[in-house]
Amino acid sequence: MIGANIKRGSAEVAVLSVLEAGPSHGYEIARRIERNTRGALRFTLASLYPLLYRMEARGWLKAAWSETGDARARRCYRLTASGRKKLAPLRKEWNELFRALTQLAEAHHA
Amino acid sequence: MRDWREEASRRLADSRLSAAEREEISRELAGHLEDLCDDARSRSQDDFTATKTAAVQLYEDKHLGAHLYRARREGIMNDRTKQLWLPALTILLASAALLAAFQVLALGLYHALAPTPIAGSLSMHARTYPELVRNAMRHESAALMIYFGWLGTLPFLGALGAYWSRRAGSSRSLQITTALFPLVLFLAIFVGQQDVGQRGTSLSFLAMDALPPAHIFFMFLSVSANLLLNWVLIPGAALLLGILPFLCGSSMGHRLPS
Repeated sequence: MIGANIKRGSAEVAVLSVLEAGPSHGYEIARRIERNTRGALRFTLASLYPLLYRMEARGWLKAAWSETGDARARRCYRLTASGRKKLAPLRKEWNELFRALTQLAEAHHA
Repeated sequence: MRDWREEASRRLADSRLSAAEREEISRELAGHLEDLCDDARSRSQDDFTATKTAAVQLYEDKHLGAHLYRARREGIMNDRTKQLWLPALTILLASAALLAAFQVLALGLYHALAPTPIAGSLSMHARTYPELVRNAMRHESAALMIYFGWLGTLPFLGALGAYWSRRAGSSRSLQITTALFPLVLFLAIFVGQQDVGQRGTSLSFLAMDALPPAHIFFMFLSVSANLLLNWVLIPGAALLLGILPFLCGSSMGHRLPS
């Protein structure tokens, strides 16, 4: 159970962080996350869209169809005020978690 | 070029998504797969490999349609509803239903033991004093059976509320709030009974107007304290008893950032 929560929680932080920089469509979100994490976090179609829809349903994201440069229609996601509000405490919690895990790992090595 | 929209639509055909939702999602997934193919080609992959990479993503999750359907419906119930309102209202209703069930059971038992109602017995002078005492004792036993029987269920309801809330990923304070939520009902009972008690007392004062005001005040205070203890403090403690394992245990259930 905790594994699923960590996975989902980290994925949500990743998506919110990317969208904080500006609106983006699904594929672009996945690509930016992969690039910014140097390939450590990768989204497939099956993992990305259920997550985006869930976050949209919670009111953290808002999506609208728009034309891209290549005249293709893409569904673009942008952060809502509620999503922006959610991001700060999530980041804090994740920083605390990683700090605690790092301390634990260092204590184990010492 | 492969028709990804058609393929995605076929892929979602067996899901519970509505036709309009399926259409919109297929369109979005097709866009994703087209971009994926273009990207693969731009990294010098041939058409076959690029198409295969995209197809793997479309078919890797056997339950893609079900996952998308569930994700779309998640907004119907937000976190606060799942973590507080749903478990809290469920245990509130359960505690009310159990109280009613114990009342029905105890009263049924009382009537089985004492077929003649007390009011009737009192009005009929044919009854002897020991019989009236026995009747009153049966009445007391029935009341105690209702109260203690119901009280015994409260730790379980408290535990259920805290567990449910924890499963939904709530914080510890929200788990406690959820488990103690039936106190709302108990407070209502307390206030209601106090009101009835006040009216009863004021009626009896008509017959006892010779009593000094201080005596009346302390009588009222004693009744209130009794009701507060029986309907709020003791049930609250019983609910808290059920939460104890959650307070003493680890906070594993605390949902990590989500």
